[in-house]
Amino acid sequence: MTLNKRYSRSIKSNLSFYVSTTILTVMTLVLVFIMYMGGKAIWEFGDKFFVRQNLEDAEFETYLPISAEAENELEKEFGVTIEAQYYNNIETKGTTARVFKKTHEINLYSITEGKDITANDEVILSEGYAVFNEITIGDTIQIGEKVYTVTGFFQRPDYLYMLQNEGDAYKNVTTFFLAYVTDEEFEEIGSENCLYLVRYGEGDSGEFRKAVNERYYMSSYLTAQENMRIDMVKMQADLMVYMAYGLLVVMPLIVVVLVSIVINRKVKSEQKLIGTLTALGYKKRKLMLHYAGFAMIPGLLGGLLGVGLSLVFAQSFGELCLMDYEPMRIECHMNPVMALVSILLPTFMYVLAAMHSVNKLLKKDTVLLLSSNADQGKKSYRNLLRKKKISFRIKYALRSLIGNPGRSFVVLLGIFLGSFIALLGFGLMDTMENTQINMVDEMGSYEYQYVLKERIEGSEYGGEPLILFVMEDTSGEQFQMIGTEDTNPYLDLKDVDGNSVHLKDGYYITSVMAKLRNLEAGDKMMLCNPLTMEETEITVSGIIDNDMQNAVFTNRARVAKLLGIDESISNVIMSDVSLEIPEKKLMQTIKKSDAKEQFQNMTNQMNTMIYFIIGMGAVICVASIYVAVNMLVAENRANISMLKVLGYDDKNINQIVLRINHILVPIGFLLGIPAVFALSNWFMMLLAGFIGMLPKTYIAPESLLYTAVLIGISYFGSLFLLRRKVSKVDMVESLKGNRE
Amino acid sequence: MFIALKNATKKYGEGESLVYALDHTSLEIEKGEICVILGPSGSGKSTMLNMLGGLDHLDEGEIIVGERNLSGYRSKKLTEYRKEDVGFVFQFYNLIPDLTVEENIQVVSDIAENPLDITEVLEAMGMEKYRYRFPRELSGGQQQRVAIARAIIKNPKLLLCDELTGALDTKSSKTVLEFIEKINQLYHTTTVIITHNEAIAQMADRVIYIKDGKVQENRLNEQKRPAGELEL
Repeated sequence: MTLNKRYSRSIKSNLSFYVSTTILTVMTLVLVFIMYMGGKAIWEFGDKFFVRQNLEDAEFETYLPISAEAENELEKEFGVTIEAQYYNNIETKGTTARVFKKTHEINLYSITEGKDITANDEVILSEGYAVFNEITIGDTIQIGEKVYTVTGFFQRPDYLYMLQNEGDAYKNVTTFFLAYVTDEEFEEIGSENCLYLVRYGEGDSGEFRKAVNERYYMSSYLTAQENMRIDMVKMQADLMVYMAYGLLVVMPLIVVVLVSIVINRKVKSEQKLIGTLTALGYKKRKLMLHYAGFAMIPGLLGGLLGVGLSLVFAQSFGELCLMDYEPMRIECHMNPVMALVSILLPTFMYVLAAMHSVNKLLKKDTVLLLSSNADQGKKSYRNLLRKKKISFRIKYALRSLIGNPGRSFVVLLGIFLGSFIALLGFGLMDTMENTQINMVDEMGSYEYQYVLKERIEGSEYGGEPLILFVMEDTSGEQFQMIGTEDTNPYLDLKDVDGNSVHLKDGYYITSVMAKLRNLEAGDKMMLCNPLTMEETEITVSGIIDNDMQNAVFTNRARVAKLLGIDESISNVIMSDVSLEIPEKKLMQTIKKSDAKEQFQNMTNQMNTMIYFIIGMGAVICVASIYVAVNMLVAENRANISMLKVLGYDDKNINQIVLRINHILVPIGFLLGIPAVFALSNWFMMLLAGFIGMLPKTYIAPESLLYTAVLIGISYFGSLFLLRRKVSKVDMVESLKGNRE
Repeated sequence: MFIALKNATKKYGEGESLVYALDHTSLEIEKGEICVILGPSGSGKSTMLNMLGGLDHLDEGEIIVGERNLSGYRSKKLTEYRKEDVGFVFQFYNLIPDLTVEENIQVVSDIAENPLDITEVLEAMGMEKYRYRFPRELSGGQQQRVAIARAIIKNPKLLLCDELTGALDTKSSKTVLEFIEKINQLYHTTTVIITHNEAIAQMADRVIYIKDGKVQENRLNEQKRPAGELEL
């Protein structure tokens, strides 16, 4: 069709429209895709790696050792696989090597580079440490008194996130590594520690655990789901995929609506031509197809570029998000169906918008189309301020704003979208930072928390002794059960209304636990002792305002009764000063300042993603606002031209025409704030499911300022660019087509 | 002499498609006159109006309006000229649809140095009772009267009318022309009317006929008739 020759000419004359709508489509798709592809790739890697390396279902320690024969008996009796994991922590010049004895059935290591050990003076190291410390194959390394030659690097499925201690919040690849030596060499070193790995298969885990506890007295039990070294990988993937889903709901929807409205208005601006072509005998179908072609350009181009760029960047982005893990060989790939949908859906929506617009116009009288008057609906808004004695400039701005709801909506949407993305990025960072600052206060005013290997009676070391145990709910999710007294000087427990709680009155759950389990005061809750598998039903007496600990608080007597121990026994000591406790009695020392630092490090993990979101947000912000405000000049050409004829200079015209949408800037910006709170709260609830802490969404005043500046620059920058267009409006030409 | 075109030339296109919209044209119009410029389509009437109104530049020659020589004017000076000295009335009124009658006139009075009183002008145009109406609530003739009111509110030295009755019926056309006549008498505004309707020439003090960008005839009208008596 000869008419289609307009395509290339139209693109040239409306280049900014096509470029900005294409950029919007591309950026939105890239943002969603790379998050999704990165997350999926991590999932897939984890799933395959865990299966291939026979990842444990749980690990436990017992007071009595389980002999090899007893292991076989347990395996036969309960249909499970058990394997003892012997290891030794060896300190060498400030570095800790955790030397393992090879296992053969569970948590098998995988050589990622080099070769396995064959001689007694050879060692293989965890890859993250080797990479960080620039150790290469063939180097020698001292472990204890002996020097070994590094023959290769490896990964273990239960150490993809390299936590030295289970309670740590952040990896350590600087002064901590895993190592394997030959069995013979390991015997030489001698094993100090043993934990048991178990894979349940079809076996009954409950009965097995009960039996192990009865026969060998379990001292700890940790499922793979609760093991941060394992679960952090899934968490990272989940965060990315859920973020992609969250953005998917908001971003493409808004962009598609925004671009569709712009296309719709573009078509309407051509009503004179459509009328002319109708008068010339063009059928509706041909016209609809012709305009569909215009709309197809940003959709197809944006979709194709979006998919293409996602394929290019997803791999790097995924790897960037995994910087804190052992080097994982993820492979990002795109689901072809998803790619096809991503290309076709925006195209389809844009085409639909254009065809709908043409169809609607063609229902009008051709004469009206020819005079560009077909789009005149009921204009009751014009009565606004009709008889008020105020400047015509204000009246003009208000009526233009209200009288062009589509255009105003697009501008509002553009500003909202820009504010939303930028604020989301800043808000996530602020929330994590704020959590880090406030978390310690919610947990208590102690500085040290000593977790003891052995239970103690009384308070022989000083400080405030208490009972702290890990319990499970019926779904197997673990939380802390804390037994202490109201007199504990380090805890100032208050309910959500700010009233002090009295632990002797019953069981109090923290607010994060209440939110995660949807519990209220008066609700019943089943607790399970993970060692004995004994279940107890408790009634929630109240909710403690504490979003930092997934825990149940009560007095010592109740916890002691639950655990079947004496009330005077404690296993944790809180103190505001350092206590003299023998090293061998300590399982772990948690310093509040260290915990704070570790949390800061953990939040750094998210920063890559967040900075990326802010960057993308800035581009989307500029593009969407430019698209939106660009319509101002295009749709006001006749008025601009008339004002020029009447003697208005460009500066005055800019003041009248370009300021129409100013009022929408603060509105769009303010609307972005609750939207960010809604999405962030949802995201934080997801996060709470993983880490047992519920960061409160917080946006710092500086972030609001930065976002406002970003939006202001985008908006006024776009208007500044448009000034050129205003000055280019031709007085003579545009007057020819101006009719009321 | 209030208006003088000297050897005015305006070309469009190039090579074989070169067209002279004004071809070395010269003419003179006296202050306070009603001058009707006649000519067939494509004769250069609108181009001449654009030049007189400072909407476009000549390629060659000079245009002098009052004490201004527009030929050397750049964009800023032309804007100032339009703002201070010229009032426009167009065939399709070109009112701003989102503004009422009064507000459309205010658009000009806001930037004029010594604007006339809006109520006075509206009364003169018989539009006072419609001051809060929007353009689309008015007939074509009424809209054109608003356009005239908007043009004269600044009390311009020159009123330029481009086919001002082209979109009106006979009755409305006559009314509008009567108002133009009235304005001319009231404010002694030099008025240039461009039209292809020869009947309008009867109300003019001066009639200029142009064809192919050249003045074919420039004469004083000895048998001037009031607008109300025109047979349109």
